Amino acid sequence: MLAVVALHWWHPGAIIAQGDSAPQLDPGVWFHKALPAWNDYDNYFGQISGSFSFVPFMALWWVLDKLFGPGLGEIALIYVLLAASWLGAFSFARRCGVTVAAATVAAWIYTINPFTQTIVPSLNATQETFLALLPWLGFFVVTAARDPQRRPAMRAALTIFALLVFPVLGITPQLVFQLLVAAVLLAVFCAFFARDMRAFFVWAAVTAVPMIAVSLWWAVPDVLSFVGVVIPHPTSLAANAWTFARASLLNDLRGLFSWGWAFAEYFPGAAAYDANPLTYAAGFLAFAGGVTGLIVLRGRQLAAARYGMACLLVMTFIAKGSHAPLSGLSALLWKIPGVFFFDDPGGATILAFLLASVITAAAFDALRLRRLRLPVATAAVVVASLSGILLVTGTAFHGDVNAPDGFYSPSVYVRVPAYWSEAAGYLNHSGRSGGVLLLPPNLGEGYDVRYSWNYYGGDGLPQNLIARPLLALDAGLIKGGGYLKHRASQAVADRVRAALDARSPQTPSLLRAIGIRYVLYRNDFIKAQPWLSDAQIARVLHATPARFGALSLYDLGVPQTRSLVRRGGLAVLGQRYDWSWIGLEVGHGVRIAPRVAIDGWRDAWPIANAGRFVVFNAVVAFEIIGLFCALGVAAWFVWRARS
Amino acid sequence: MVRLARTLLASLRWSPHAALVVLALAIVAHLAGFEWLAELYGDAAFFLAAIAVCVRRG
Repeated sequence: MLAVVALHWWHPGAIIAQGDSAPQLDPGVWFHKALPAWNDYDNYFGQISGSFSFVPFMALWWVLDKLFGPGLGEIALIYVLLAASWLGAFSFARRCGVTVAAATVAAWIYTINPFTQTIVPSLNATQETFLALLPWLGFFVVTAARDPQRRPAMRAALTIFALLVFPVLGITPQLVFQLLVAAVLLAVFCAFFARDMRAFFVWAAVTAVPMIAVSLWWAVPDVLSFVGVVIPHPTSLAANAWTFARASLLNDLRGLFSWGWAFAEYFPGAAAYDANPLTYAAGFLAFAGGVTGLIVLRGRQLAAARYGMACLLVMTFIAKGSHAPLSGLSALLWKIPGVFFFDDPGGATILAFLLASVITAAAFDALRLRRLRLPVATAAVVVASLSGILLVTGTAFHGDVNAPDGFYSPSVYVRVPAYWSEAAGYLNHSGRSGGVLLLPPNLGEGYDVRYSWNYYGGDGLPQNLIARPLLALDAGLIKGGGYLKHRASQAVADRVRAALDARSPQTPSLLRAIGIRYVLYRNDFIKAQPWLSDAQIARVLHATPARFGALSLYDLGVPQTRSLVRRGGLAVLGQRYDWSWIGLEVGHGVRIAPRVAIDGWRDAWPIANAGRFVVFNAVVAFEIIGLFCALGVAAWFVWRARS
Repeated sequence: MVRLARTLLASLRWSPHAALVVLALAIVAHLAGFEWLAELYGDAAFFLAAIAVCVRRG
């Protein structure tokens, strides 16, 4: 059924791209950019190089892309994530002691609901991955709770998860924090199923030690990657008042935390979905099922249900932000350090809905066994399947990815012109070193851009396609209206922009001096404000471009330095900690200042602080050694579990 | 007064049932186009569920 759902989103020859998800024609490019990334989320040139956390997700996407091609590979990725969620929820519910039929109900409620339809079609990597991983975390923990004999094996499994699978959650620090909170809440929930509750908590506490130890290799660089950048949009209750004012507690109860749900330009199918009695009411299944559990469950199951529903209510209340009711109480809650992490509902809120799904399943069993004495199980499976068919065939569910009109007009099914792939292919295989300057700059308020071939969304296509350092002026997913600003790269971009605006004849030499060889001018880019034309740029650069459809590619010749654009080599030592880097010292005009490291968090660490810089290098080296030790610990746990 | 208080406290055990009824009313109000009323019922369902969590049963 899930395969049918996913396949229904497939439009041959097109890929899904909207909002934050820029067209992804070659996941291998991003994979290779993320692979050597260590502690720099935003590199020198202001492009997204992606932290290492993207590697597992992009590796999976790359494999599926190679197997099925860009369009169908994307659909396969959605299917894999949905299937992992479904199977995880089913397995977790079964371990909690419910019947197969009830576990099926829980899996459907968890996998297909209003929340998932806001994140799945847009390929929201972070949320989808969390959705898929969380039930499996629950599966391991509840297995340990119910069966003391299997605790060593579960500890080994969780350690391996922390080592190899959880890095994908490091994409944002919020998810890491929420994972920690969710893990604690989950452990308490599972404790209700343990006969030796105290011993179980000891096991959980001890298990956390190797899990944290093996997580350091990806968690520490992720933390460092956010040091040295400016955050233009700090999260606060006041800053998000506009979005909160457009949310409602009623929508929160069906897992719809996205304020954008109420706006047709973001979710054109929302109105149809909400007008349909079946789909609208089905959204409340987890909440209603959880409340029903409070009525029909007894004993430990009731205690677990009360706990799970308390989690659900607390999380939804926090997630509602400053919206009525009790907005004053919300303001007080937000004064507690760390509560702001729940602004964008993630792990703990998803966990609460997972628990509610399991409670619903238990209530279903209780009703079936004690009250109704009807073949409810069969009926429920039939209803669930029919609902799936309805979702597939109706415009309600897939309307948001098949918008005939709206803000993302005319459709989020994007057909990227072939000349983009041709230009990228030329750049990726030319064998000449040098970075790429992307023009014209995005001068809009946000990071969204428009192309003449009917795309509106994040300006990530060049970064996703071109396997070179890319300098995007005043734009890109980060630098324009984004979430992070890198002081050094912003300063460099401002200088280049000023030179271009002044039509300075020194522009080509300036670009070559910072390692840029190519300038890519996009004539299919719809400018938000008037700026220099392609012909004007040709005069400024004193060059004749090569043409790739609507793209003009200028070759400025061999850059004066290779250091700034060199990539590859050993992931950490080769790229990020190379002492031969040459940077720009900005202040009294642009000048080359050798051996000043300004990349990433090191922009505040010039050569004068070399000693402290060496200390950091030593810490990283220690960390790598620690990684191998952690692998040894994990192997020992596996060996012990087997013996 | 004591009897009244006891009656009120005893009635709290019906809070989950009331939460389900009010949630159903919220759904009906939404489908009827009264969004403000639906949100009001939704708030009530939330707090009734909170009471249900706190009241000990079984």
